[in-house]
Amino acid sequence: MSLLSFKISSPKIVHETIDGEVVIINLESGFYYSIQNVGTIIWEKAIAGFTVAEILKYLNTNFEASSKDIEIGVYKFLEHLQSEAIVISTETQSGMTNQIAHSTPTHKLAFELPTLQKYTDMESLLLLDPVHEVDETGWPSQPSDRNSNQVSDSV
Amino acid sequence: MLLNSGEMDAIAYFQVAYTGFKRAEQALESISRFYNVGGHTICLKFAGDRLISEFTPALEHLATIPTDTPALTICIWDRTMPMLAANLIELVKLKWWDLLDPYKEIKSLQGDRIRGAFQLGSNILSLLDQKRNIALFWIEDIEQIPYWERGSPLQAILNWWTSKKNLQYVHAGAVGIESGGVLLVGKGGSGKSTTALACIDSELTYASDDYCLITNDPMPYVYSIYNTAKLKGIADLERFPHLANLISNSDRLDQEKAMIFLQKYYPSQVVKGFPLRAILISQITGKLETTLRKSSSMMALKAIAPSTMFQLSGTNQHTLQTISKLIKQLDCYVLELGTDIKQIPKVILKLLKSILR
Repeated sequence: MSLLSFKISSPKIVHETIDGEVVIINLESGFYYSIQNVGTIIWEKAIAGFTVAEILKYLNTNFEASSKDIEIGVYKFLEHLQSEAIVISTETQSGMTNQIAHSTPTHKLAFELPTLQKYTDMESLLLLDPVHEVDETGWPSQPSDRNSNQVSDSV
Repeated sequence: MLLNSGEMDAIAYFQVAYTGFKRAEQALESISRFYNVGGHTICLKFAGDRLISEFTPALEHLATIPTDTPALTICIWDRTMPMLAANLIELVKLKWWDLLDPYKEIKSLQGDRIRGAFQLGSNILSLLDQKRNIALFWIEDIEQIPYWERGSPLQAILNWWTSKKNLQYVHAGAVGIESGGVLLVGKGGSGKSTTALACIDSELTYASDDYCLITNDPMPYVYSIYNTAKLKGIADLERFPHLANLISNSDRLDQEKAMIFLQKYYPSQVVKGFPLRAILISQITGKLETTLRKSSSMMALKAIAPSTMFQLSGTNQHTLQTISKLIKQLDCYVLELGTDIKQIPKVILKLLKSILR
């Protein structure tokens, strides 16, 4: 069984869950993110220290999809979190893993591919070149292209 | 000094900089002004009267009686700085990318007790000693003070200090009546200032149009910090033509946002705070009518947390949780702003009356 797990990369990553949706703020990059549905379950379990194998087992028990599809979706999602420097991988020692309580559900839920929604509209509040551009935030910021501030994209 | 410092070095640096204020204070007149910020009496101590008019108009509505035991004393001066302290400033100017973090905090002054930040360009050093409740605000030359520092003065120091007092500095406007009001949230340009200014001639009072303090203890409450209204561009001036004569910096509008110190002209409309009853996410629609629709708590969190946290130094997981806790206690709405400005206060007042009934 894979003992691969993940943890939040630094104190500069802050997060909060409300009504099943997660918002993650990267205080260093100026980006923030949203996760919903199955992604929220994976996120909550991953930052609680569960291994990938344990997360896969939980999803296979509770969601209607082939184990291959679930595995591909979970790994792709975790790779996205890693590539955005939100989490880092770690190896859990054998015998130290958490146990997710498993009970057989009466019916399985539909499995939708987990996604990480990335918002870039606030990035300009952080600095680039302190010498050339100074605005009312008190911090030199990049030359603004205000139209591009509306962009949010799915990773 | 300080490139690899511990707390003792940070304390020593603060003390050296503090002697700069002491010298300036001896050479010039020492003048104190007192303000009630978030329920705490704060003393602004100026070395010389030249600086007073740059900082006090934005805080005038919070003026309070002097005390010998203020909760925080902020020493404000320009020019005089001992060489030992000035050396670090020069080094920061030269190697800012190594010595400052993305929030302009000096990396070697980020301890639990001493915090420091430096604004390049305007060359402003802000230091806070959390233990002694003394802060230092030094600007190289007061003639070079940026307009936003006159509009929202002492932001770094007030943010650091209030965060230890169960208060959270946030990027939000606030309007209401004595028994309750609304927090106006959304990123810059979403209509917070327009909404706050639209309410100034109504039954609603004004607490903020961009920065204020919130608390959850013992109930959701907003404290005003600044009475500065800001107008940006000709479109704003056309929306509020009756305010054009009140602008404090009308000779510099080619470089600065127009600022109006509302306490001077609307003293009965500017208030120190009120309980919060709802959160409104402002959105400009271009339609004539102003309307409200229910929103999710998460939408409100996204509208207030990133824009607050990317502007302020020293924010962390606790900051997000404080904001989230406030949001979870209140109903959230999208305020779809129409072009008929007079409708805005009516819509907000109707909502408040229905909540407070």
